[in-house]
Amino acid sequence: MDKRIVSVALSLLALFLAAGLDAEESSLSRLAETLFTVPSPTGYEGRMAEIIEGNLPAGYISRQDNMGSLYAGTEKQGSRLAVCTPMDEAGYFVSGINPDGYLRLDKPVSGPDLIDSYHLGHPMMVWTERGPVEGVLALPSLHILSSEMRRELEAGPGLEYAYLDIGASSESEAREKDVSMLDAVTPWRELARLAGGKLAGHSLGLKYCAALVLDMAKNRSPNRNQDLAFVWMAQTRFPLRRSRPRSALGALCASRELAPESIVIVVDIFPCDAEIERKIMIGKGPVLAYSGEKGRRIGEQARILAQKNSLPLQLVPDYGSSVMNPFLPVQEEVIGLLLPVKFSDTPGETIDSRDADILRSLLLALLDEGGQR
Amino acid sequence: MKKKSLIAFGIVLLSAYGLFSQADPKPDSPWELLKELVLIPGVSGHEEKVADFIQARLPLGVQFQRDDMQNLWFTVGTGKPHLVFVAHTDELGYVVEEITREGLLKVSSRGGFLSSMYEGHAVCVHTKNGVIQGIVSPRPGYFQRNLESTSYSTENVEIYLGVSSLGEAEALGVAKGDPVTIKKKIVEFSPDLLATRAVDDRAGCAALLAASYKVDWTKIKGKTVTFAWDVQEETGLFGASELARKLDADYVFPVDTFVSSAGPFDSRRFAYLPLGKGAVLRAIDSSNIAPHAQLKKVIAIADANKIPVQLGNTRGGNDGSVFVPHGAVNIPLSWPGTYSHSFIEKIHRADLDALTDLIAALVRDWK
Repeated sequence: MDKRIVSVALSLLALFLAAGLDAEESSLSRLAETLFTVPSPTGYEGRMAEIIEGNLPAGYISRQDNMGSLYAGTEKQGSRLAVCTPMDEAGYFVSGINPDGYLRLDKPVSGPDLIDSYHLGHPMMVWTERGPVEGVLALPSLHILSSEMRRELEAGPGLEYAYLDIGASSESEAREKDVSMLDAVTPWRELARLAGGKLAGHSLGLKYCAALVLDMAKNRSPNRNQDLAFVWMAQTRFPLRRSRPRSALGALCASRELAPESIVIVVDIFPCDAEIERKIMIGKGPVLAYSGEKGRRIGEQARILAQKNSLPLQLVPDYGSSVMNPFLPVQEEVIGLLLPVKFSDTPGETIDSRDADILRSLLLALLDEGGQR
Repeated sequence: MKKKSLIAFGIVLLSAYGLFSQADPKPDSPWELLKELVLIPGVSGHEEKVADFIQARLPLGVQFQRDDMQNLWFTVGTGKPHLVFVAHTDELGYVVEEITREGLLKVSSRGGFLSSMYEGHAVCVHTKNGVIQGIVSPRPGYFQRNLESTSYSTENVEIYLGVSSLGEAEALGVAKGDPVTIKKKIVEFSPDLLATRAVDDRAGCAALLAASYKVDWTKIKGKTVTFAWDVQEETGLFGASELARKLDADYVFPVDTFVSSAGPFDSRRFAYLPLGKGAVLRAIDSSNIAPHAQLKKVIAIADANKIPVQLGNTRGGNDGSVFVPHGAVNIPLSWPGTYSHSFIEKIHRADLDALTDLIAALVRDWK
């Protein structure tokens, strides 16, 4: 089938699935499952922004900044209350096409040491201008593997070992598949459904966060006369060079776009395993994170609302992250409402859908109160 | 009496109608068969479903046998020589060894592979209640930058099911001994090229099954031919060993992967046979050296039937090797495959077609 037809069909399907979300109960999970399929490596968030924008109810004024971040609100300029979330995921791009047809990969953002090794020997997708192309990251055959290479593979190799096989045996065959330099590349993904409402998949936590904020935007009529903005930030995995504390470029630009007097609620993931000393777990409710005085008042409001509505909440004071940090020196008040994830940045990134539902309820309650002083 | 005869005649007619109106089990092309076969779970020691699939598609009229191990075979003809063609139904994977107090699954491997391929990925646990999904926990410190060099092996593997206690895990139906496979995906590069798990040896199974329809079994004279689908090859050729004792083979043709060095990492000093250039005679491997005279005989039959074949040597063993001590000559038949024992074993349709044709030609023309 023509790849363009497949691409258009996939986009239409994604839009159709997302547009048809009427049942409030299931809207979040269905929306998240739709966004889960949309590729959005850092610097390649265009498709994601398009799908999100296409799902905004009439009445919102939307725009994008130079980073590609999407803003939806009732006013063109800064809003009183802003809900911000990342929309990028870990991914790659084509950095070379070898004479034997293999594609070489690079990534704009570094990450944990093992982040690339998970994908060796697994299916991948190349997102060409004319549609997706399936491939696999080559893995040496076990029977003819040297013991030295075996040790290297078991240690978790990096991109030096990444040869993307798209079934081409020459550079021209690769180009006939419409593959070009810098095309985005992501792991092939399928949602895994675990027991107890847990779900797992590549970058699932961030996709759920993006879906949560879209769900909020769909839920809140722009005509409520509430000075409210929703922001899906691009390039949040990309740090400003030499920034201390580490600051995500997309979040830094968003903080400049929003009015200093804004109250910012950052909806992001909380990697439980990486922050093990904080004893945060999936399935115990979302995380309320804040840093010093900047989040104390709105944080307290969130905590009381959670208590009033019997919503479990895990508290993390003195928290900073590359996504939250840029807002702290600029905006008046900043908190994080975070979705706990297990196995972050692996193909099996796991969330508990109940945490997401609770986060949704808490966010709705908070927006109803409008972050009032 | 007349009335009874009429009723009996009617029953005979209805029975005959039932016989002849049976759905023709003739399978699709080997390529289509392969795509169905790879998706059937069949970790070594748990091959029943694969055997069921093949058994249901055997040509009408052949008398098949199936033993307790789940080896499946049929034999046609009488006398010498006895040609045995064999492909294995099992695949690599894990088996649940223990459920921890925290509800995690500890496993042992079935066959040789890199456990790091599973790290952080979703797997299917095949329980008595059906398939449940889990995630293979990544190694400790997986989220770190500048992680001290570590290795990852089966001992490290723990499967997270989404539960936190032994009781919760058991309530899902998980039990010791349940097989575990990766969530499979067929990557189709083109209509003639794919990569997925278990091409080793479902491609052999598919070729053998498809070849069984290319042979006119009524014309097998002056020889005996057995087609067998055996079990537990990956864990030690156990199914083949059982068949070698049962079948008095003169020639055994194991149908299995030729591990090709056509991948981007591989040294091309040996085993370099490209995909798409035809079936393979796996002349020398780690378990067998096929006699030159017999290889020439196969090549002559292939040439006479215009079937493309390649000749090469590689590593790894084959089912035929356990027939040799029983007096059989072992002539392994293959297709060139890259990325062996991974989730992306790659195969070309032209090679599978040639292999199927070669099997059928050998059945017909081997004397």
